[in-house]
Amino acid sequence: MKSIQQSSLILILAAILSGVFFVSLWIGPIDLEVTQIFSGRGEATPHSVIFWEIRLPRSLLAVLAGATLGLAGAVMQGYMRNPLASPGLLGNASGAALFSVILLYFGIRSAFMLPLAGMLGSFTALILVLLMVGSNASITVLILAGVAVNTVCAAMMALLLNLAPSPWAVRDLYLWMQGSLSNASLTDLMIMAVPLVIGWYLLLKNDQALDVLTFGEDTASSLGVDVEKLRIYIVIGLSLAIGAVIPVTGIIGFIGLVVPHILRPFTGNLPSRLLIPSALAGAILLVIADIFVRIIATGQELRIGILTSIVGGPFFIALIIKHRKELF
Amino acid sequence: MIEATSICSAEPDLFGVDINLEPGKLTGIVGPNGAGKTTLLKILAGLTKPVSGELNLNEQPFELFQSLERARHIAYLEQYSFVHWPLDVWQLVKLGRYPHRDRPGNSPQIDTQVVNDVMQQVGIQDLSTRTFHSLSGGERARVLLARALAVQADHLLVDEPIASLDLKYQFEIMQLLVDQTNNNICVGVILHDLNLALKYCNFIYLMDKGKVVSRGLPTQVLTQENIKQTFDIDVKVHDTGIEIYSLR
Repeated sequence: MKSIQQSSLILILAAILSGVFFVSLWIGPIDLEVTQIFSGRGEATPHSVIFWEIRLPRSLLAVLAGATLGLAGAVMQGYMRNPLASPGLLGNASGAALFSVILLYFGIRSAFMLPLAGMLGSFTALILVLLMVGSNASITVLILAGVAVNTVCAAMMALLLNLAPSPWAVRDLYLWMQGSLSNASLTDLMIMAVPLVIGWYLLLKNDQALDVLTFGEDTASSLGVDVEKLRIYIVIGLSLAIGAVIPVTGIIGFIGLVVPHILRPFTGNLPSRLLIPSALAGAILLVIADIFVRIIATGQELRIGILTSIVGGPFFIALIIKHRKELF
Repeated sequence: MIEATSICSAEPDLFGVDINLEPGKLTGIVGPNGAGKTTLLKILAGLTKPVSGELNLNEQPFELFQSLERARHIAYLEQYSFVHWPLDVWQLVKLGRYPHRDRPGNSPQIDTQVVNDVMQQVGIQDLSTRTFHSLSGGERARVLLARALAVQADHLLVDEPIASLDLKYQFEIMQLLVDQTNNNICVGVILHDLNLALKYCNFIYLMDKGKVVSRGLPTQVLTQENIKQTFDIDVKVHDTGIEIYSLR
Protein backbone atom coordinates (compact mmCIF):
# COMPACT_ATOMS: atom_id res chain seq x y z
CA MET A 1 0.00 0.00 0.00
CA LYS A 2 1.26 3.45 -0.84
CA SER A 3 1.74 5.96 1.89
CA ILE A 4 -0.21 9.16 1.37
CA GLN A 5 0.53 12.72 2.42
CA GLN A 6 0.14 13.00 6.16
CA SER A 7 -1.88 16.19 5.93
CA SER A 8 -4.44 14.60 3.61
CA LEU A 9 -4.66 11.53 5.83
CA ILE A 10 -5.36 13.77 8.84
CA LEU A 11 -7.92 15.81 6.89
CA ILE A 12 -9.78 12.71 5.70
CA LEU A 13 -9.87 11.24 9.20
CA ALA A 14 -10.96 14.55 10.72
CA ALA A 15 -13.80 14.80 8.18
CA ILE A 16 -14.95 11.25 8.96
CA LEU A 17 -14.76 12.01 12.68
CA SER A 18 -16.95 15.10 12.37
CA GLY A 19 -19.44 13.05 10.36
CA VAL A 20 -19.75 10.18 12.82
CA PHE A 21 -19.76 12.60 15.74
CA PHE A 22 -22.74 14.41 14.23
CA VAL A 23 -24.55 11.11 13.61
CA SER A 24 -23.81 10.04 17.17
CA LEU A 25 -25.52 13.16 18.54
CA TRP A 26 -28.79 12.26 16.81
CA ILE A 27 -28.96 8.54 17.46
CA GLY A 28 -30.77 7.21 20.48
CA PRO A 29 -34.11 5.99 21.75
CA ILE A 30 -35.63 9.45 21.32
CA ASP A 31 -35.56 11.43 18.07
CA LEU A 32 -34.41 14.92 18.98
CA GLU A 33 -35.91 18.05 17.42
CA VAL A 34 -33.31 20.71 16.75
CA THR A 35 -35.83 23.49 17.38
CA GLN A 36 -36.66 22.06 20.78
CA ILE A 37 -33.02 21.89 21.87
CA PHE A 38 -32.09 25.46 21.14
CA SER A 39 -35.43 27.22 21.50
CA GLY A 40 -35.46 26.98 25.28
CA ARG A 41 -33.72 30.33 25.99
CA GLY A 42 -32.30 28.97 29.20
CA GLU A 43 -35.44 27.00 29.87
CA ALA A 44 -34.91 23.25 29.96
CA THR A 45 -37.05 21.20 27.63
CA PRO A 46 -36.90 17.39 27.74
CA HIS A 47 -35.09 17.44 24.41
CA SER A 48 -32.50 19.97 25.50
CA VAL A 49 -31.83 17.98 28.68
CA ILE A 50 -31.33 14.82 26.65
CA PHE A 51 -29.04 16.66 24.26
CA TRP A 52 -26.87 18.53 26.77
CA GLU A 53 -26.78 16.00 29.56
CA ILE A 54 -26.81 12.69 27.72
CA ARG A 55 -26.01 12.79 24.01
CA LEU A 56 -23.33 15.49 23.94
CA PRO A 57 -21.27 14.27 26.92
CA ARG A 58 -21.53 10.72 25.66
CA SER A 59 -20.36 11.56 22.16
CA LEU A 60 -17.60 13.83 23.45
CA LEU A 61 -16.43 11.09 25.81
CA ALA A 62 -16.29 8.66 22.88
CA VAL A 63 -14.06 11.13 21.02
CA LEU A 64 -11.77 11.86 23.98
CA ALA A 65 -11.46 8.23 25.10
CA GLY A 66 -11.07 6.85 21.57
CA ALA A 67 -8.43 9.44 20.71
CA THR A 68 -6.53 8.66 23.90
CA LEU A 69 -6.58 4.92 23.27
CA GLY A 70 -5.52 5.34 19.63
CA LEU A 71 -2.73 7.76 20.48
CA ALA A 72 -1.50 5.73 23.45
CA GLY A 73 -1.49 2.58 21.29
CA ALA A 74 0.53 4.26 18.56
CA VAL A 75 3.04 5.70 21.05
CA MET A 76 3.34 2.35 22.80
CA GLN A 77 3.95 0.45 19.55
CA GLY A 78 6.53 3.02 18.51
CA TYR A 79 8.26 3.03 21.86
CA MET A 80 8.26 -0.76 22.20
CA ARG A 81 9.09 -1.15 18.49
CA ASN A 82 6.44 -3.83 18.45
CA PRO A 83 3.20 -3.94 16.44
CA LEU A 84 1.57 -6.04 19.16
CA ALA A 85 1.96 -3.46 21.91
CA SER A 86 -1.24 -2.04 23.38
CA PRO A 87 -1.82 1.02 25.58
CA GLY A 88 -2.18 -1.25 28.61
CA LEU A 89 0.85 -3.44 27.96
CA LEU A 90 2.85 -2.02 30.87
CA GLY A 91 0.05 -2.52 33.38
CA ASN A 92 -1.04 1.12 33.36
CA ALA A 93 -4.60 0.41 32.22
CA SER A 94 -5.21 -2.38 34.71
CA GLY A 95 -3.57 -0.28 37.44
CA ALA A 96 -6.05 2.51 36.70
CA ALA A 97 -8.90 -0.01 36.61
CA LEU A 98 -7.85 -1.60 39.89
CA PHE A 99 -7.69 1.72 41.75
CA SER A 100 -11.08 2.71 40.31
CA VAL A 101 -12.60 -0.62 41.33
CA ILE A 102 -11.22 -0.15 44.85
CA LEU A 103 -13.00 3.22 45.07
CA LEU A 104 -16.21 1.84 43.59
CA TYR A 105 -16.01 -1.10 45.99
CA PHE A 106 -16.20 1.33 48.89
CA GLY A 107 -19.00 3.20 47.16
CA ILE A 108 -16.97 6.31 46.32
CA ARG A 109 -18.21 7.72 43.03
CA SER A 110 -16.89 11.26 43.25
CA ALA A 111 -16.15 12.92 39.90
CA PHE A 112 -12.88 14.23 41.33
CA MET A 113 -11.69 11.17 43.18
CA LEU A 114 -12.15 8.65 40.36
CA PRO A 115 -9.85 10.24 37.74
CA LEU A 116 -7.35 10.95 40.49
CA ALA A 117 -7.41 7.30 41.55
CA GLY A 118 -7.11 6.24 37.91
CA MET A 119 -4.02 8.34 37.33
CA LEU A 120 -2.51 7.21 40.61
CA GLY A 121 -3.20 3.57 39.74
CA SER A 122 -1.77 3.96 36.27
CA PHE A 123 1.32 5.69 37.62
CA THR A 124 1.82 3.12 40.39
CA ALA A 125 1.65 0.26 37.90
CA LEU A 126 4.18 1.92 35.58
CA ILE A 127 6.56 2.72 38.45
CA LEU A 128 6.34 -0.90 39.60
CA VAL A 129 7.22 -2.04 36.08
CA LEU A 130 10.16 0.36 35.87
CA LEU A 131 11.44 -0.72 39.29
CA MET A 132 11.29 -4.34 38.17
CA VAL A 133 13.14 -3.55 34.96
CA GLY A 134 15.85 -1.52 36.70
CA SER A 135 18.52 -0.27 34.36
CA ASN A 136 17.87 -3.10 31.90
CA ALA A 137 16.62 -1.53 28.69
CA SER A 138 15.52 -4.78 27.08
CA ILE A 139 12.03 -4.66 25.61
CA THR A 140 11.40 -8.29 26.51
CA VAL A 141 12.05 -7.63 30.20
CA LEU A 142 9.79 -4.57 30.02
CA ILE A 143 6.95 -6.62 28.51
CA LEU A 144 7.42 -9.40 31.06
CA ALA A 145 7.22 -6.90 33.91
CA GLY A 146 4.06 -5.45 32.35
CA VAL A 147 2.51 -8.91 32.10
CA ALA A 148 3.33 -9.50 35.77
CA VAL A 149 1.72 -6.24 36.90
CA ASN A 150 -1.33 -6.90 34.69
CA THR A 151 -1.73 -10.33 36.27
CA VAL A 152 -1.50 -8.97 39.81
CA CYS A 153 -4.04 -6.23 39.05
CA ALA A 154 -6.45 -8.71 37.46
CA ALA A 155 -6.13 -10.97 40.51
CA MET A 156 -6.81 -8.07 42.89
CA MET A 157 -9.89 -7.06 40.91
CA ALA A 158 -11.13 -10.65 40.97
CA LEU A 159 -10.55 -10.66 44.72
CA LEU A 160 -12.64 -7.50 45.16
CA LEU A 161 -15.45 -9.04 43.08
CA ASN A 162 -15.17 -12.16 45.21
CA LEU A 163 -15.45 -10.21 48.45
CA ALA A 164 -18.13 -7.80 47.28
CA PRO A 165 -20.87 -7.59 49.94
CA SER A 166 -23.87 -8.19 47.66
CA PRO A 167 -24.71 -9.68 44.26
CA TRP A 168 -25.72 -6.18 43.11
CA ALA A 169 -22.30 -4.80 44.00
CA VAL A 170 -20.66 -7.65 42.06
CA ARG A 171 -22.87 -6.89 39.08
CA ASP A 172 -22.08 -3.18 39.30
CA LEU A 173 -18.33 -3.68 39.47
CA TYR A 174 -18.39 -6.31 36.78
CA LEU A 175 -20.39 -4.16 34.37
CA TRP A 176 -18.16 -1.17 35.11
CA MET A 177 -15.14 -3.26 34.12
CA GLN A 178 -16.70 -4.05 30.74
CA GLY A 179 -16.68 -0.40 29.74
CA SER A 180 -19.43 2.10 29.05
CA LEU A 181 -19.68 5.67 27.85
CA SER A 182 -23.11 6.31 29.31
CA ASN A 183 -22.17 7.57 32.75
CA ALA A 184 -20.38 10.83 31.97
CA SER A 185 -21.61 14.37 32.52
CA LEU A 186 -20.08 17.51 31.03
CA THR A 187 -18.53 18.19 34.45
CA ASP A 188 -16.83 14.78 34.40
CA LEU A 189 -15.45 15.58 30.98
CA MET A 190 -14.12 18.95 32.09
CA ILE A 191 -12.37 17.40 35.07
CA MET A 192 -10.85 14.71 32.91
CA ALA A 193 -9.84 17.08 30.12
CA VAL A 194 -7.01 18.74 32.05
CA PRO A 195 -4.84 15.66 32.70
CA LEU A 196 -5.88 14.34 29.31
CA VAL A 197 -4.52 17.31 27.39
CA ILE A 198 -1.28 17.34 29.38
CA GLY A 199 -0.93 13.60 28.78
CA TRP A 200 -1.54 13.99 25.05
CA TYR A 201 1.04 16.76 24.91
CA LEU A 202 3.66 14.60 26.62
CA LEU A 203 2.91 11.66 24.32
CA LEU A 204 3.09 13.80 21.17
CA LYS A 205 6.15 15.79 22.23
CA ASN A 206 8.74 13.16 21.37
CA ASP A 207 7.27 11.96 18.10
CA GLN A 208 10.55 12.09 16.18
CA ALA A 209 12.45 10.34 18.96
CA LEU A 210 10.13 7.38 18.34
CA ASP A 211 11.25 7.35 14.70
CA VAL A 212 14.89 7.24 15.71
CA LEU A 213 14.14 4.39 18.13
CA THR A 214 13.55 2.28 15.01
CA PHE A 215 17.29 1.62 15.24
CA GLY A 216 17.18 0.57 18.89
CA GLU A 217 18.25 2.50 21.96
CA ASP A 218 22.02 2.65 21.34
CA THR A 219 21.79 4.23 17.92
CA ALA A 220 18.94 6.45 19.08
CA SER A 221 21.02 7.84 21.92
CA SER A 222 23.99 8.24 19.57
CA LEU A 223 21.67 10.49 17.54
CA GLY A 224 21.00 12.60 20.61
CA VAL A 225 17.83 11.03 22.01
CA ASP A 226 17.88 11.11 25.80
CA VAL A 227 16.48 7.62 26.22
CA GLU A 228 15.83 7.93 29.95
CA LYS A 229 14.06 11.26 29.58
CA LEU A 230 11.95 9.82 26.77
CA ARG A 231 10.89 6.97 29.04
CA ILE A 232 9.86 9.44 31.76
CA TYR A 233 7.81 11.51 29.31
CA ILE A 234 6.03 8.42 28.04
CA VAL A 235 5.39 7.00 31.52
CA ILE A 236 3.91 10.28 32.81
CA GLY A 237 2.00 10.91 29.57
CA LEU A 238 0.47 7.42 29.64
CA SER A 239 -0.38 7.69 33.34
CA LEU A 240 -2.19 10.99 32.88
CA ALA A 241 -4.04 10.11 29.67
CA ILE A 242 -4.99 6.48 30.30
CA GLY A 243 -5.45 7.13 34.02
CA ALA A 244 -7.93 9.92 33.31
CA VAL A 245 -9.96 7.92 30.78
CA ILE A 246 -10.33 4.51 32.40
CA PRO A 247 -12.16 5.55 35.60
CA VAL A 248 -14.84 7.21 33.47
CA THR A 249 -15.17 4.56 30.74
CA GLY A 250 -14.08 1.28 32.30
CA ILE A 251 -11.90 -1.03 30.25
CA ILE A 252 -12.21 -0.70 26.48
CA GLY A 253 -9.95 -3.12 24.64
CA PHE A 254 -8.51 -3.48 21.18
CA ILE A 255 -8.94 0.12 19.98
CA GLY A 256 -5.36 1.03 20.89
CA LEU A 257 -4.03 -2.22 19.47
CA VAL A 258 -5.90 -2.33 16.16
CA VAL A 259 -5.98 1.32 15.12
CA PRO A 260 -2.24 1.91 14.62
CA HIS A 261 -2.12 -1.42 12.85
CA ILE A 262 -4.72 -0.39 10.28
CA LEU A 263 -3.10 2.97 9.64
CA ARG A 264 0.55 1.97 9.55
CA PRO A 265 0.64 1.15 5.82
CA PHE A 266 -0.68 4.64 5.03
CA THR A 267 2.08 6.34 6.99
CA GLY A 268 5.14 4.70 5.45
CA ASN A 269 5.65 2.85 8.76
CA LEU A 270 7.12 5.95 10.37
CA PRO A 271 6.03 5.99 14.06
CA SER A 272 5.76 9.78 14.29
CA ARG A 273 3.37 9.97 11.34
CA LEU A 274 1.12 7.45 13.04
CA LEU A 275 0.35 9.44 16.18
CA ILE A 276 -2.28 12.02 15.19
CA PRO A 277 -3.98 9.78 12.61
CA SER A 278 -4.24 7.04 15.27
CA ALA A 279 -5.83 9.47 17.71
CA LEU A 280 -8.41 10.50 15.10
CA ALA A 281 -9.11 6.94 13.96
CA GLY A 282 -9.39 5.76 17.57
CA ALA A 283 -12.01 8.45 18.15
CA ILE A 284 -13.86 7.45 14.98
CA LEU A 285 -13.93 3.78 15.93
CA LEU A 286 -15.13 4.41 19.46
CA VAL A 287 -17.87 6.82 18.31
CA ILE A 288 -19.06 4.24 15.78
CA ALA A 289 -18.91 1.48 18.40
CA ASP A 290 -20.97 3.63 20.74
CA ILE A 291 -23.55 4.25 17.99
CA PHE A 292 -23.86 0.47 17.51
CA VAL A 293 -24.24 -0.09 21.24
CA ARG A 294 -27.27 2.22 21.14
CA ILE A 295 -28.74 0.75 17.94
CA ILE A 296 -28.37 -2.94 18.70
CA ALA A 297 -31.48 -3.85 20.63
CA THR A 298 -30.52 -5.89 23.63
CA GLY A 299 -32.58 -5.91 26.80
CA GLN A 300 -29.67 -4.59 28.83
CA GLU A 301 -27.51 -2.08 26.92
CA LEU A 302 -24.52 -3.84 25.37
CA ARG A 303 -21.28 -2.78 27.12
CA ILE A 304 -18.98 -1.01 24.70
CA GLY A 305 -15.84 -2.77 25.96
CA ILE A 306 -17.46 -6.10 25.13
CA LEU A 307 -18.41 -4.88 21.66
CA THR A 308 -14.91 -3.59 20.84
CA SER A 309 -13.40 -6.89 21.97
CA ILE A 310 -15.94 -9.03 20.12
CA VAL A 311 -15.37 -7.11 16.88
CA GLY A 312 -11.71 -6.27 17.48
CA GLY A 313 -10.60 -9.80 18.35
CA PRO A 314 -11.51 -11.55 15.09
CA PHE A 315 -10.44 -8.46 13.16
CA PHE A 316 -7.04 -8.67 14.76
CA ILE A 317 -6.82 -12.38 13.99
CA ALA A 318 -7.62 -11.61 10.35
CA LEU A 319 -4.95 -8.91 10.28
CA ILE A 320 -2.32 -11.28 11.61
CA ILE A 321 -3.19 -13.95 9.05
CA LYS A 322 -3.18 -11.41 6.25
CA HIS A 323 0.12 -9.85 7.26
CA ARG A 324 1.93 -12.82 8.76
CA LYS A 325 4.44 -12.93 5.92
CA GLU A 326 5.21 -9.23 6.29
CA LEU A 327 5.45 -9.34 10.07
CA PHE A 328 9.05 -9.34 11.03
CA MET B 1 39.43 14.78 17.73
CA ILE B 2 38.57 12.43 20.58
CA GLU B 3 41.13 11.90 23.35
CA ALA B 4 40.50 9.30 26.01
CA THR B 5 42.84 8.87 28.97
CA SER B 6 42.93 6.01 31.50
CA ILE B 7 39.44 4.75 30.68
CA CYS B 8 38.26 2.10 33.13
CA SER B 9 34.94 0.32 33.07
CA ALA B 10 33.40 -2.72 34.71
CA GLU B 11 31.46 -5.61 33.13
CA PRO B 12 32.89 -5.79 30.51
CA ASP B 13 36.18 -4.64 31.96
CA LEU B 14 38.51 -2.01 30.62
CA PHE B 15 41.72 -1.28 32.51
CA GLY B 16 43.12 2.19 31.91
CA VAL B 17 42.80 2.49 28.16
CA ASP B 18 44.38 5.50 26.39
CA ILE B 19 43.27 6.18 22.85
CA ASN B 20 43.26 9.13 20.46
CA LEU B 21 41.22 9.50 17.30
CA GLU B 22 42.76 12.10 15.05
CA PRO B 23 41.22 14.08 12.18
CA GLY B 24 41.85 12.72 8.73
CA LYS B 25 42.95 9.34 10.01
CA LEU B 26 41.34 5.94 9.85
CA THR B 27 42.03 4.48 13.27
CA GLY B 28 41.51 0.75 13.60
CA ILE B 29 40.71 -1.09 16.82
CA VAL B 30 41.50 -4.79 16.60
CA GLY B 31 41.69 -7.64 19.06
CA PRO B 32 40.14 -11.00 19.90
CA ASN B 33 36.55 -11.45 21.05
CA GLY B 34 36.01 -10.12 24.55
CA ALA B 35 38.92 -7.70 24.37
CA GLY B 36 36.58 -4.78 25.16
CA LYS B 37 36.53 -3.16 21.70
CA THR B 38 32.78 -2.52 21.53
CA THR B 39 32.69 -1.28 25.12
CA LEU B 40 35.48 1.15 24.33
CA LEU B 41 33.78 2.39 21.17
CA LYS B 42 30.51 2.99 23.04
CA ILE B 43 32.38 5.00 25.64
CA LEU B 44 34.10 7.01 22.90
CA ALA B 45 30.69 7.66 21.35
CA GLY B 46 29.35 8.89 24.68
CA LEU B 47 26.75 6.13 24.91
CA THR B 48 28.04 4.65 28.15
CA LYS B 49 29.93 6.40 30.90
CA PRO B 50 33.25 4.93 31.99
CA VAL B 51 33.77 4.21 35.69
CA SER B 52 36.79 6.49 35.58
CA GLY B 53 38.96 8.25 33.05
CA GLU B 54 38.99 11.42 31.05
CA LEU B 55 37.26 12.04 27.74
CA ASN B 56 37.78 15.06 25.54
CA LEU B 57 35.97 15.97 22.35
CA ASN B 58 37.74 18.62 20.29
CA GLU B 59 39.76 19.53 23.40
CA GLN B 60 36.74 20.05 25.62
CA PRO B 61 35.44 17.62 28.26
CA PHE B 62 32.57 15.39 27.12
CA GLU B 63 30.33 16.66 29.92
CA LEU B 64 30.17 20.11 28.33
CA PHE B 65 28.25 18.73 25.37
CA GLN B 66 24.49 18.28 25.49
CA SER B 67 23.21 15.08 23.94
CA LEU B 68 22.06 16.62 20.63
CA GLU B 69 25.24 18.67 20.35
CA ARG B 70 27.39 15.59 21.01
CA ALA B 71 25.32 13.71 18.44
CA ARG B 72 26.19 16.35 15.82
CA HIS B 73 29.90 15.73 16.51
CA ILE B 74 29.96 11.94 16.79
CA ALA B 75 28.16 9.59 14.42
CA TYR B 76 28.02 5.99 15.60
CA LEU B 77 27.18 2.87 13.64
CA GLU B 78 26.56 -0.14 15.81
CA GLN B 79 27.54 -3.69 15.00
CA TYR B 80 24.20 -5.41 14.69
CA SER B 81 22.07 -2.54 13.53
CA PHE B 82 18.47 -3.54 13.65
CA VAL B 83 15.70 -1.70 11.84
CA HIS B 84 12.41 -2.44 13.59
CA TRP B 85 9.96 -0.96 11.07
CA PRO B 86 10.02 -1.56 7.31
CA LEU B 87 10.89 2.05 6.46
CA ASP B 88 11.90 3.03 2.98
CA VAL B 89 15.56 3.81 2.44
CA TRP B 90 15.11 7.56 2.07
CA GLN B 91 13.22 7.90 5.37
CA LEU B 92 15.78 5.75 7.05
CA VAL B 93 18.78 7.78 5.90
CA LYS B 94 16.93 10.96 6.83
CA LEU B 95 16.72 9.82 10.46
CA GLY B 96 20.43 10.62 10.54
CA ARG B 97 19.40 14.29 10.44
CA TYR B 98 17.69 14.01 13.83
CA PRO B 99 20.52 15.75 15.74
CA HIS B 100 20.06 18.82 13.52
CA ARG B 101 16.34 19.24 14.04
CA ASP B 102 16.54 22.23 16.42
CA ARG B 103 19.82 23.65 15.19
CA PRO B 104 19.55 27.27 14.06
CA GLY B 105 20.42 27.48 10.39
CA ASN B 106 19.17 24.03 9.55
CA SER B 107 16.14 23.63 7.31
CA PRO B 108 14.16 20.83 5.68
CA GLN B 109 15.79 21.81 2.37
CA ILE B 110 19.25 21.31 3.84
CA ASP B 111 18.17 17.95 5.27
CA THR B 112 16.89 16.81 1.88
CA GLN B 113 20.06 18.01 0.18
CA VAL B 114 22.32 16.20 2.66
CA VAL B 115 20.30 12.98 2.42
CA ASN B 116 20.48 13.03 -1.37
CA ASP B 117 24.21 13.79 -1.23
CA VAL B 118 25.15 10.96 1.11
CA MET B 119 22.97 8.51 -0.79
CA GLN B 120 24.84 9.50 -3.94
CA GLN B 121 28.14 9.19 -2.12
CA VAL B 122 27.55 5.58 -1.05
CA GLY B 123 25.79 4.74 -4.32
CA ILE B 124 22.30 3.92 -3.07
CA GLN B 125 20.34 6.68 -4.82
CA ASP B 126 18.42 4.05 -6.82
CA LEU B 127 17.20 2.36 -3.65
CA SER B 128 15.47 5.36 -2.11
CA THR B 129 11.91 4.01 -2.32
CA ARG B 130 12.82 0.42 -1.48
CA THR B 131 11.99 -0.99 1.94
CA PHE B 132 15.03 -1.70 4.10
CA HIS B 133 13.87 -5.25 4.70
CA SER B 134 13.84 -6.02 0.98
CA LEU B 135 17.55 -5.20 0.57
CA SER B 136 20.52 -7.53 0.39
CA GLY B 137 23.21 -7.54 3.07
CA GLY B 138 25.56 -5.40 1.02
CA GLU B 139 22.86 -2.85 0.28
CA ARG B 140 21.80 -2.74 3.93
CA ALA B 141 25.35 -2.05 5.07
CA ARG B 142 25.61 0.88 2.67
CA VAL B 143 22.21 2.27 3.70
CA LEU B 144 23.18 2.15 7.37
CA LEU B 145 26.49 3.83 6.60
CA ALA B 146 24.62 6.53 4.68
CA ARG B 147 22.42 7.04 7.76
CA ALA B 148 25.56 7.62 9.84
CA LEU B 149 27.08 9.93 7.20
CA ALA B 150 23.86 12.00 7.08
CA VAL B 151 24.73 13.22 10.58
CA GLN B 152 27.66 15.11 8.99
CA ALA B 153 29.63 14.69 12.18
CA ASP B 154 33.35 15.34 12.39
CA HIS B 155 33.74 11.91 14.04
CA LEU B 156 32.55 8.59 12.71
CA LEU B 157 32.72 5.52 14.94
CA VAL B 158 31.91 2.23 13.27
CA ASP B 159 31.65 -1.15 14.96
CA GLU B 160 32.57 -3.97 12.58
CA PRO B 161 30.80 -2.65 9.46
CA ILE B 162 31.81 -5.46 7.14
CA ALA B 163 31.14 -8.66 9.05
CA SER B 164 29.29 -11.19 6.91
CA LEU B 165 29.56 -9.14 3.72
CA ASP B 166 30.89 -10.41 0.41
CA LEU B 167 34.49 -9.42 -0.30
CA LYS B 168 33.47 -6.88 -2.91
CA TYR B 169 31.23 -5.05 -0.40
CA GLN B 170 33.92 -5.26 2.27
CA PHE B 171 36.29 -3.34 0.01
CA GLU B 172 33.55 -0.88 -0.94
CA ILE B 173 32.70 -0.07 2.66
CA MET B 174 36.36 0.27 3.65
CA GLN B 175 36.96 2.59 0.72
CA LEU B 176 33.97 4.71 1.78
CA LEU B 177 35.49 5.02 5.26
CA VAL B 178 38.82 6.06 3.74
CA ASP B 179 36.95 8.65 1.65
CA GLN B 180 35.65 10.18 4.88
CA THR B 181 39.18 10.70 6.20
CA ASN B 182 39.90 12.78 3.09
CA ASN B 183 37.30 15.24 4.41
CA ASN B 184 39.38 15.53 7.60
CA ILE B 185 36.94 13.44 9.61
CA CYS B 186 38.14 11.26 12.52
CA VAL B 187 37.15 7.71 11.70
CA GLY B 188 37.39 4.96 14.31
CA VAL B 189 36.58 1.44 13.24
CA ILE B 190 36.54 -1.95 14.91
CA LEU B 191 37.74 -4.65 12.53
CA HIS B 192 38.07 -8.39 12.77
CA ASP B 193 39.78 -8.84 9.45
CA LEU B 194 43.45 -8.09 10.12
CA ASN B 195 44.28 -7.91 6.44
CA LEU B 196 41.73 -5.16 5.89
CA ALA B 197 43.08 -3.35 8.95
CA LEU B 198 46.60 -3.63 7.55
CA LYS B 199 45.51 -2.41 4.13
CA TYR B 200 43.26 0.51 5.05
CA CYS B 201 44.03 1.84 8.53
CA ASN B 202 46.42 4.71 9.26
CA PHE B 203 46.84 3.79 12.90
CA ILE B 204 45.97 0.72 14.91
CA TYR B 205 45.19 -0.10 18.52
CA LEU B 206 45.53 -3.77 19.37
CA MET B 207 43.47 -4.71 22.40
CA ASP B 208 43.43 -7.79 24.59
CA LYS B 209 41.62 -8.50 27.89
CA GLY B 210 40.53 -4.91 28.42
CA LYS B 211 43.89 -3.31 27.69
CA VAL B 212 45.63 -1.76 24.73
CA VAL B 213 48.63 -4.06 24.21
CA SER B 214 50.12 -2.35 21.20
CA ARG B 215 49.59 0.85 19.24
CA GLY B 216 51.15 2.37 16.15
CA LEU B 217 51.31 2.05 12.40
CA PRO B 218 49.62 -1.10 11.06
CA THR B 219 52.94 -2.70 10.11
CA GLN B 220 54.34 -2.02 13.59
CA VAL B 221 51.32 -3.44 15.43
CA LEU B 222 50.23 -6.37 13.30
CA THR B 223 53.41 -8.40 13.69
CA GLN B 224 53.86 -12.12 13.93
CA GLU B 225 54.61 -11.93 17.68
CA ASN B 226 51.70 -9.62 18.54
CA ILE B 227 49.19 -11.70 16.63
CA LYS B 228 50.53 -14.91 18.15
CA GLN B 229 50.19 -13.45 21.64
CA THR B 230 46.73 -11.94 21.36
CA PHE B 231 44.91 -14.16 18.85
CA ASP B 232 46.82 -17.36 19.59
CA ILE B 233 47.39 -18.17 15.91
CA ASP B 234 50.57 -18.59 13.91
CA VAL B 235 50.89 -16.21 10.99
CA LYS B 236 53.44 -14.97 8.54
CA VAL B 237 53.35 -11.28 7.67
CA HIS B 238 54.27 -10.54 4.05
CA ASP B 239 54.34 -7.23 2.20
CA THR B 240 51.08 -8.29 0.56
CA GLY B 241 49.25 -9.29 3.73
CA ILE B 242 48.97 -11.63 6.66
CA GLU B 243 49.05 -15.32 5.92
CA ILE B 244 47.57 -17.70 8.45
CA TYR B 245 49.44 -20.95 8.18
CA SER B 246 48.46 -22.89 11.20
CA LEU B 247 45.62 -23.10 13.64
CA ARG B 248 46.67 -24.83 16.80
